[in-house]
Amino acid sequence: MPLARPAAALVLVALLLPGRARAFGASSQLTFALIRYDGNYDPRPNGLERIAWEVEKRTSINVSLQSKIIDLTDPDLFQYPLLVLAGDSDFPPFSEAQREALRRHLAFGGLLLIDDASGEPDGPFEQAARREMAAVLPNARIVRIPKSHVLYKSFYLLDGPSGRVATAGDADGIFLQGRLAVIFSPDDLEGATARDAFGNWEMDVTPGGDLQREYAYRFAINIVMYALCLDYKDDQVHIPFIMRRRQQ
Amino acid sequence: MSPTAYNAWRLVSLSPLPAWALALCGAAAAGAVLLAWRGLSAEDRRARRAVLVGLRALGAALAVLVVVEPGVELLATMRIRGRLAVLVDRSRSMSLPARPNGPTRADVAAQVVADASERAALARRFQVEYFGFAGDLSSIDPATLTSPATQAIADPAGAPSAPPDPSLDHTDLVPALEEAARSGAGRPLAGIVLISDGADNGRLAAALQHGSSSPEAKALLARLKALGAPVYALDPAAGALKDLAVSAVKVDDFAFVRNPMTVEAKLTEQGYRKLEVPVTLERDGQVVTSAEASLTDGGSATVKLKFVPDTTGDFAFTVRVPVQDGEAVTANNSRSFVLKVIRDRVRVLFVAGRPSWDERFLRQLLKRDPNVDLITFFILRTPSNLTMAASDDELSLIPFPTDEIFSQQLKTFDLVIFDDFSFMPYTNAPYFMDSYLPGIADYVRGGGAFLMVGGTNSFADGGYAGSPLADILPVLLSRSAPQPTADPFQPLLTPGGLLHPITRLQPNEAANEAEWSSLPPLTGINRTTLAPGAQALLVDPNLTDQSGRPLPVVAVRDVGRGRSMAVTADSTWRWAFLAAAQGTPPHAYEQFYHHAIRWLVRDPELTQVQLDAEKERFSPEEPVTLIVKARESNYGPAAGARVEVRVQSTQPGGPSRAADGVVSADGTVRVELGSLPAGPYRGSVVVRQDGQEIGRAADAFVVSESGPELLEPAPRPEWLRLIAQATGGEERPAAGAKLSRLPIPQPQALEIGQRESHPLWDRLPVLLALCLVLGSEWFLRRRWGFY
Repeated sequence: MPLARPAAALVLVALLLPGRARAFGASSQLTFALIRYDGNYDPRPNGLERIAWEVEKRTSINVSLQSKIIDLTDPDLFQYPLLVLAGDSDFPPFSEAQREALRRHLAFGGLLLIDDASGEPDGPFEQAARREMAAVLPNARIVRIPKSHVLYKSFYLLDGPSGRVATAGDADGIFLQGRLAVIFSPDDLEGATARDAFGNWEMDVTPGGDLQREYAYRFAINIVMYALCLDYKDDQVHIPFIMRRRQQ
Repeated sequence: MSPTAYNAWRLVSLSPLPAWALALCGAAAAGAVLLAWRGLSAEDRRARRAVLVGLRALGAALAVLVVVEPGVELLATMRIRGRLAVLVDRSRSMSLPARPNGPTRADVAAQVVADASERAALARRFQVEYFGFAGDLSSIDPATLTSPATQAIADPAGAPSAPPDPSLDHTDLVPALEEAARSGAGRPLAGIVLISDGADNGRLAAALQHGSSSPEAKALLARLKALGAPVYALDPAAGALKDLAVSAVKVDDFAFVRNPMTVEAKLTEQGYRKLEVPVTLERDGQVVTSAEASLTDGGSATVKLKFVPDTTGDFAFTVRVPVQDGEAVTANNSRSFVLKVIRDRVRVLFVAGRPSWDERFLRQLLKRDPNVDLITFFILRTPSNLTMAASDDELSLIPFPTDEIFSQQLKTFDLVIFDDFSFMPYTNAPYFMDSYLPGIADYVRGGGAFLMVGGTNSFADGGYAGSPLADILPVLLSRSAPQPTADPFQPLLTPGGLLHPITRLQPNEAANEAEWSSLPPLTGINRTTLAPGAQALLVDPNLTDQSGRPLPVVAVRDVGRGRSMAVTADSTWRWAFLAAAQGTPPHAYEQFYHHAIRWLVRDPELTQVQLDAEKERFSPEEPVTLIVKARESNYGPAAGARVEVRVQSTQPGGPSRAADGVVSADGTVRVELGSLPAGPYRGSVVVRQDGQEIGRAADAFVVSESGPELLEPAPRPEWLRLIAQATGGEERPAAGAKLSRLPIPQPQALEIGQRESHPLWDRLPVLLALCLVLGSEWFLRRRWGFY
């Protein structure tokens, strides 16, 4: 469908939504579900909440400001299509029941964000995570997510992943039937977003400082948008707009 | 026998020996003479050599005479009459007028052979045999020749005549000529008189379709030459013929709605010097497109009529050219056909008020469906999100093109889905979303489909109470309705939902109920009330409206020609994803929405009432039968329901018929309407149960001549001319033709009645002379020293 409206039309009128936005409860909200395992599964305790807060503030997504910590064998696992596996060190192998639950979750539409808080390329957490992914999805390959992938344009136009550190410049992932089911975030994404109880940044962001921190938020929001919209921004209707802005 | 009975003689051999034996004897005699000549070549005395060679030659001649026994045969001869075959075309095309308002071609042909004095004059010169032919050749009595059976095409609006003889349904000139040439038991064929309009639809037409110089045409001309007699072709339609015809229409069996399609019409023209005519394509009597065609006398033109069908269904189309002054045949100025217009893919507009799991799973389902052409708009950012740092150029957002999708292109969609979408933030410039709501409601009433899926931005919570969309929803909205609930609940199938195709996940009712009860519970519901005329398929058993009825979770409604559906929850995604936790693929979720889409866009398989003509094309002689399938709102057979069928010609002033029937226990009824005149028709049915209408349906069919005789009846004088030229005959107009004046030559054939043979001389004197000559040669050879 050809669209010819100027981008300036993005300026919208005042919000007139009814004041009942929360009334449908948690199942209509997006909630980060942090996987609990034997190890340091929550290295950035406030990271996900800060991301959720930014998502709520910047987008129309109805998001839960509280993340959920959940075991892979929890019967409620499938209440949460977006899972996060975080850590900064090696962790013991998952049980077969855990692996089977995660395998089914990803196969039927779930998305797993693996956030390496260590900031070390090919560090012990990343190796353990790759080991588990090989066991959970033995027929899938971990590949580099191309820069042209919709993950980098699902809301913000980005050139790559961001986080507390800048290690690889690229993110890896696992595709299932064309859908990105697993995202490896190599740069400690939550580390860039975590604040303490007084609102201060918990960690410095290097080498880019606040600008890099902003891009870490944008990358996180793009991940959330991709989880909920998948390849929406690959629809033909978006292409001319995105190409024009990329050129600018 | 008196010697005077013989009037001719000829020399013959009376020898009983066969011809080859006689030839052998002649060769032996010549050899003997040659041997004598060579044996005497050394003799210097020429006289002796001449005598001996002369005696050898004389002896050889006498020996030949003895063996051959020459004689004279006396003959009593007489000249016989040649055979003349008169072939009269009896095919159905001969029932057409030879000229406007004039006699039929068959009448003109009958006049040629009707004159007894002419037949008598011809019989004095030839043995005349009269044949009628169409497909097969048969003897006819020229004195009682009448017109062929039907006049139906000449009077398309009139009542049909008696069933036609199928043997008259085609014309095959060449085999008829060959069969006529072969008959006659060896009597020489003087010629063939062919009285025909030349409208061949057999081998001649097939051979000439690639031109007269094609291999097929040349082979056919060779067959005509092999007849061995001239063909005199008399054309009853010659001279004054004027005709413009739609001689062929090429079109696919089906077309895709909203996709351009082309109908290719071939026009032929005879008798007009030059014609510029409009060619129209009509659907159910309404012109949908037209083109101009230019034709010259005897020529043809192919016109491409392009149009875009905007509605699915079966329609009767007609390609038509205007009737010209003095046309001989007007029935071939149009040609009708039935075209099935189908969806290539269901075109869905999906507007989501915010990204959520419910919208993500539904969009994913639609996106994966190869039968769905999906256009999606997510509201990714609301006005309250505008205060953030990023500039527009750093975002991938596009403007919400309300005018384009809700005004310009709305009618191109088969289904519009509002999923947790509120129009209220977009009522001001540049969106004016509220101004498009009446158009969306009209789109649904006019045949579109609308699905609203629940959420905090849907139904009354989205501000739709009192809006134009509230009028077409299957649920009633109240501005004062209590807030949506977040409580989990297991939706309950209603009695209608047990059988309705949307919620029919299993063919068995008990299994269907069991599957629904096994699905993960939903959480949260928009509070609504079932609208009058709507049907609830799933309800929340825990919550009731003010009248005590359970709140609808899934409800459907027919709105004018369109349909609407409401899903008042925003957690149906749980049927897909949470089912996976139990190891169950999301079949129920996929089936539910696939069925919903098919029902909303009126998939013919899911409509309550269906009407199907037994055939797409009937002949004017056969009864038209329509089959009605009727189901009640719960999709059980509508046994006992009354059907009112009406068939109407789509031509202005065309005939119509009506009939009633009662639906049988299996939900069907056959309605016969008798035979109908040729033309395109549209049938419609209304089904009522206990006086309440339960549905309507329509279908199209065509009544037309099925055979080529009346579909391609144009005379073919050029083909008659070709036959005449190939055989050495002539082509003439039949009107006023005199059979006795045709320049048919008499064959050079005699018939021998008596014969008698006599030897020219007795054999004994010849034998004695032979002995004397041989003895003289022997004596002289010995005397002159030759051994």
